[in-house]
Amino acid sequence: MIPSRRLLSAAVCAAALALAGGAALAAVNAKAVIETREANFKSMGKAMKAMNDGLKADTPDMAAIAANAATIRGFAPKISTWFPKGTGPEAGVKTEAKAEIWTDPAGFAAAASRLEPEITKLEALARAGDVAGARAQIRMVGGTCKGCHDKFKQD
Amino acid sequence: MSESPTPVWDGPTRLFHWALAILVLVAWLTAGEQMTLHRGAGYAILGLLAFRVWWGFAGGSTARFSQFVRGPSAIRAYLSASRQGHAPERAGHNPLGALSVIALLGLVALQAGLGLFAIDEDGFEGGPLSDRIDFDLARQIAEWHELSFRLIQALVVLHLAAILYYVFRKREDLLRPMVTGVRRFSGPVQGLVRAPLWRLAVGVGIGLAVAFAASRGFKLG
Repeated sequence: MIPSRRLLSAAVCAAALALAGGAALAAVNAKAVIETREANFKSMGKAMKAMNDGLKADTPDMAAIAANAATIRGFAPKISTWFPKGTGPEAGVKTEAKAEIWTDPAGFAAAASRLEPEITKLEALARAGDVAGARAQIRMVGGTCKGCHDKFKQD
Repeated sequence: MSESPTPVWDGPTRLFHWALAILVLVAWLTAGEQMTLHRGAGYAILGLLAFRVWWGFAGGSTARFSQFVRGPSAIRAYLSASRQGHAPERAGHNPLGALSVIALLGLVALQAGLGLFAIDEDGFEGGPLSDRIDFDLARQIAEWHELSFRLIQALVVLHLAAILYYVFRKREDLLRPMVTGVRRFSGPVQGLVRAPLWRLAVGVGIGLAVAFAASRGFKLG
């Protein structure tokens, strides 16, 4: 039964190729996902710094602060969707995401969701021109970054 | 050990030494966590370093750079004399130990200087000058800030190892003189020549001014 054995080995080869290809594809996807989320976090960091720097001034440009707050608010509700399975430390791509994101998904979702209400408040205060309020509120926003990072991100 | 205790380190130098040790420890323990305290430790360290530079030119004899900063030939001569067991006794840093002093002071200055510009990943906790530069550069500087701290840790380990080496191999206690200021030598040794009090007052003024200016991000008014 030589032809069928040949068929079998061809099938095995094809399956192996498919597996390898699938793994390679997953790695490519993981890399793209990780790069995108890191770019998003960096955009948020930049916006955060711009607000902090702005609020140091005697008369801060509150419109600029509101615009930066809006940038972060746009990202905030999506954060927990940036961590599909396979994009953690096991992905083989450099990432500072900790395995806890996937072993404690409820805890992660809760920690990640704390940003949105705080940044929404900050944006409202900035739009209202409340400098003192914004200065106090940005500390709450910063606390939500750190709160999630302490548990779910490597130093 | 027949001679009477000889003064080797003046009070300000000893106080500087222990204050710096404690503040570096505080800065280490608060890093990334209690950033208000961490920044405070940094400002105090900058003030201390400014004082130490002044004291290195105007302080007691053994604190002066001109007395202990030596070239490679002096270091070689010290090493070979030391190996043969007849390095001259002296009050103050030996030519090799002086390198450690310079390296530690320089690295701690670099460390505090980098900290002024560094910012955390959240763009939230930063040094008082981080608002002068953009996020990417401030993050890069924060990474250098971490790296240079590793070097400080390595130098501190070397510093402590050298002290143990002197205790166990050379039977010299370096720790006690840094506390009491005095040391017994086996023969007559030129001891510390103290600086007048007004120079201490000027140094304290310089240190306080630098620490205060750093805490304000060197902004006037």
